Amino acid sequence: MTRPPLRAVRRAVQIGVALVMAAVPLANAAGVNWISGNFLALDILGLPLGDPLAAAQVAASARGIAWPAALGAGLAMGLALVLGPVFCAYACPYGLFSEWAHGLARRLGRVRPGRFPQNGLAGRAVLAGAGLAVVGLWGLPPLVNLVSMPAAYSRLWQYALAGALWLPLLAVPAVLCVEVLAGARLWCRFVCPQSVALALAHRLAPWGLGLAYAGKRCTCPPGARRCLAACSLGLDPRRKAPPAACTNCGDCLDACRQAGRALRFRLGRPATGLSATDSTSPAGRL
Amino acid sequence: MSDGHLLRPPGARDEAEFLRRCLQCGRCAQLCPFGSIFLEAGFDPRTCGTPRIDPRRTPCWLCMRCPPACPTGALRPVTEMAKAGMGRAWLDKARCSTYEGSILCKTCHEKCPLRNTALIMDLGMFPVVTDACVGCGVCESVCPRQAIVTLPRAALPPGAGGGTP
Repeated sequence: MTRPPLRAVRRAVQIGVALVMAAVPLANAAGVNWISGNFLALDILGLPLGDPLAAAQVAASARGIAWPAALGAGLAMGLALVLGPVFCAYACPYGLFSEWAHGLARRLGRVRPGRFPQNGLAGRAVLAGAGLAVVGLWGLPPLVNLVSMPAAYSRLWQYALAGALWLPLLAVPAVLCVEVLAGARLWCRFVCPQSVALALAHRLAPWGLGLAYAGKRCTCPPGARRCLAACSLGLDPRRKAPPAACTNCGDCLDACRQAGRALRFRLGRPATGLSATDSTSPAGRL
Repeated sequence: MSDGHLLRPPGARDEAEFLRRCLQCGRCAQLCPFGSIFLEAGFDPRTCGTPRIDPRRTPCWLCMRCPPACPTGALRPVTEMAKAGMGRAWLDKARCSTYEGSILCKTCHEKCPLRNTALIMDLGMFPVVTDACVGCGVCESVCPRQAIVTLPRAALPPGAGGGTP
């Protein structure tokens, strides 16, 4: 039996998460309380999940650990340590909209490979760090939450239930329009501070899910790399170490399955000294 | 609301500390069975997304479900009504029917979740708000003459009660 493309599974999960998070305020209003909160702090059957940057801001500003929020952030970080920043690829509603916007940009012919730099995590990390420092030093409210795109999506439904429209939400379609015109997922690559902690966990952990590229198997001609064309973040997956901004979405793997199957997921990093052309996965294909 | 201060849910810390801790997750609002808590939707980056109560819209009935739900302790995890510490009600005797002498109205006393402690009836007739009032806003919402206003704890003068923890 042929395996369904990972992209189809991922898209189903993304849409499912978006629908569930839209339904949460309505369910709560109807007395269903097994899930509550938004992407900044969520409670599912008593299990906390939360945004690590939001919890860090509260801890820095209040000069103390808020345990439920810290535990939720810890669980999210733990997930990122093992699976990488899969929240961005499988759960974030803004990521879903951004991918759809990127698909539109492709159809409009606005995507130009190489228009933007490959690295983007450093800039995002500086932004997140600066925001955290300002909030912590001056004892401010968690202001960086205001630029959390997944939180903005949650708030849309929370406010809608109260019959209000929070006007800053209009920034979301505006950013999407900019991304279509630029032909690149600018927010996720160069701005989003919320994903930094997850990406850094993925980057620094010596274990965890990541890409492995076996150059010998690649059958694409140099000018027509399917994997590069498939990556909506504009990353090059053909590296010994996966790109820092990679979210393990698997689009490049799906594209590579149509050709030489040179890309696959692996657990752990390539052993030191292993060349990019003969890396093997201890976990096998996942 | 007075002086721009917002009436916060039960168990809220002092305003500055509350704002530092509030994650803007909205769980308190979502879990409120009465729809009393709503999220501030203004443009002030310090307060937008934080929970508030407007007694004229829906008062807090002190069910005390929201404080334990707060993931950051912006709402202290209190479960006793008497420790809600939201603010305090103020009665304008010039507008109150009973003090005015037109009719004998006991609506505020009958509806007060902390009646006979937070709101007592002087001489069995005249409503008096005491320092035990926690500022839930129920009396303000039911007063037919709109003679009561609920002040958030942050807007209270020193020593004015308001269930200060």
